[in-house]
Amino acid sequence: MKKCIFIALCFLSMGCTELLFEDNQRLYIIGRIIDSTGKPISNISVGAYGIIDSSPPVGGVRQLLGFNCSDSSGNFSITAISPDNEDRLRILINTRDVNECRFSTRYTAIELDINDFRTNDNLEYKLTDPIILN
Amino acid sequence: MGGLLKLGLCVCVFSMLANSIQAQQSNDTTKIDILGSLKAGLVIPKAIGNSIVQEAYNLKLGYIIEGSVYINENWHLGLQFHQFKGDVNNRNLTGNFDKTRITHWSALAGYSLFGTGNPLSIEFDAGIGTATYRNMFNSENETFKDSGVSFLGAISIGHKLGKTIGVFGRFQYQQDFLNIDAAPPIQSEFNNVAFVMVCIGVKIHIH
Repeated sequence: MKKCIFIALCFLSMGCTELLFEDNQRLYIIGRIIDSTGKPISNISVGAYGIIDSSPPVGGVRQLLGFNCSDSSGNFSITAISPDNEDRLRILINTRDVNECRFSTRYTAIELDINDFRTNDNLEYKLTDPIILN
Repeated sequence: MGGLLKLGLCVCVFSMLANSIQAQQSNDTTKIDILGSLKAGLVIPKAIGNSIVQEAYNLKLGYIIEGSVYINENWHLGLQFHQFKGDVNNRNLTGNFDKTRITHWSALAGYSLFGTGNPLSIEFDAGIGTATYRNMFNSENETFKDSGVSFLGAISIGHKLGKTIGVFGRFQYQQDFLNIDAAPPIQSEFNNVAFVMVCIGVKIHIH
């Protein structure tokens, strides 16, 4: 019985991961939010998250790295701390996690996963296409 | 814990230096009344200029510890440690963390205007050292750091209250050049951080 508990604890501890962060580094993510008619949407919350995937039953890790609100032109910029062991970067638009600006029930929330942001040497990631909220 | 270890090492180095000078002095015709000093006090920091700390932090009261050894009547060498915390009040600018503990270690060289024999002292110091910004989340478990080189210039006024004890006040300018890699639009705000600090405390003279 004790052996079983020990093995189970070992298994669980192997699955427990936490997001680590790069020293001396910041990410910068910029983009633009518009509605379906092409009109910019202001004061919409945008968050950047570090994601670690994991198999059930442990579950993954999702941690907010930085956030901001879109301005009157729909533009946003996020200064974020830099994850060290993430599987991907995820951008959440119209997220409830950011208290500084509104969560709009008029629009749906959008998740964008970015896998290639490490390839950019200057740590700046531009979302070239506007994000359309319906 | 690491900070305490460093502090212990500094006290040891300082004591050895003081002993070495005392031994040298016994054979020397030049009299140095005071071998060195230990200072401890409070620091009131304020960030200035266009930096991330100035724009996004609410800095708290800190503390300073400094040891100096006089190499002659007017000149001294020393080591300074000071630390203070800051609460992040604009996480849009910094990234998502809550607190930072800012630590400076500096090697100093200074000049005392009236020499060691005068009860009133006015000292000018310049120094170079390291700056470490330990960034923390609320739980204080998950941390990462920013670090770099730091330069300082300071003027202190002190007064002896007795043979071994005195008080001092200091105005210090500290310039940090941090090694943070960031995108060009935000790089300069993260790399250059300047502080002015007012320090007050006690000074122990070692004879």
